[in-house]
Amino acid sequence: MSRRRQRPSESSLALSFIDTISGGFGAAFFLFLIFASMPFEDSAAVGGASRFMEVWLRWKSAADLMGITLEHESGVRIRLTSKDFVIDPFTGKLAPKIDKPLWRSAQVNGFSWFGEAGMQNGAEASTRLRLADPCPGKWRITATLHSHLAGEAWLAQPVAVPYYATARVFDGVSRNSDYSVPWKDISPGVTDVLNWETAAGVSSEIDVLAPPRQKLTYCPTPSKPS
Amino acid sequence: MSFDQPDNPFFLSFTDVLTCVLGGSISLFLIFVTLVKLVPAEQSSQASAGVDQRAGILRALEREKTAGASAATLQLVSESCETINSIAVENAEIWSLTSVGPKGETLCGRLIVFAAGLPSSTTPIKSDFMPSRPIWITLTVGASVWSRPVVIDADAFRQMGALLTIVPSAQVLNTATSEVLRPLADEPAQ
Repeated sequence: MSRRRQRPSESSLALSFIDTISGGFGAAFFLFLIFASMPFEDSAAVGGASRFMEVWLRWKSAADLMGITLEHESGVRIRLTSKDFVIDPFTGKLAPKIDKPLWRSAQVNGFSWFGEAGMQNGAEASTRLRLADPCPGKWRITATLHSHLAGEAWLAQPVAVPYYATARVFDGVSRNSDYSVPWKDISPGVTDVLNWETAAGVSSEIDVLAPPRQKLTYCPTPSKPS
Repeated sequence: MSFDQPDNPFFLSFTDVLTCVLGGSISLFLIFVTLVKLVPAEQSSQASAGVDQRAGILRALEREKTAGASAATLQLVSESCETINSIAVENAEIWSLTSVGPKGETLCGRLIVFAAGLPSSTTPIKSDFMPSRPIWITLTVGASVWSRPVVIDADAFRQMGALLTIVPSAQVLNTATSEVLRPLADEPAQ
């Protein structure tokens, strides 16, 4: 007796192998587009925000170098060294080797430890740091004079160098704050905390406001007041 | 043997299809995300990010008009030091840069600072010498950065008498090349 398999009646919902493959690819692509268009950490802020903080340090000596250090109110202290950062010599883009560098992207010019000398303009030299989307909070900035003395000058009395600093913070909406440190002298090896003069008075801190309706995922969570 | 037989090894149930689709989509997603993450920052999807950067610069310029958030710089870097060292721009502060390239080559640069924001009139960036190497142009307005290497064309350089010209009315950087760069306009570069 021959075995006969009972074939199911043809259904309009039946899928052929080709239907399955084709539908599968279509659906997979569709789902991929949904996943890919979700807001992720890196792409969320690209080009969308215009908050920035820019710091200029200018000094009257082409032979000396000055550097800055950033301290955020969260306790994070950042020195712009080749250990923690890499600079693109063509664009000045600062690529961090550390996690969460407290900003979305940064550009620098005239930092000696990246193989550059300070930027030169006649007898003046300068360094510049521009941070895009810096973390909100209070920032303290210090400046240090690194002198490259000639051999015969090692035993001579260190010569102070006059410098001044400016900073501009734009909150991305309307407020544009300018800070400045008037000319003052600094000796080799000395680190100064920059005391900024603003329209509201003198302060050792730069106040960066939080962006409206945007969470910066790379920023430390603010500590709750005890 | 046909595909509609139940014991066909190619037969897929509806649940199989759903599982495969979900698995495939997650695989594709992971592949693309991994690719994006692994690409170095310098090369990270310049083409797709370009429109966003241009849009960012345009928005920054709009804010510049209303809020006075002017902080524009134009950085030019090249191995053609003779060209870079003779750059001249009117009504701008110019800082000279020197650095070392990835292959140990000496790079010369100029940082042109427009303290009052990008110029509102057509501004040429002049130089006395035709560059033999590409020039990296980096325009920064607000928090938006737009950078691109360009190869200067000898005929265009002689004709223009400048390396590039900032043309605010047309929202372009008109370079001495066969192309017109549009970092200021919210549309794809041509």
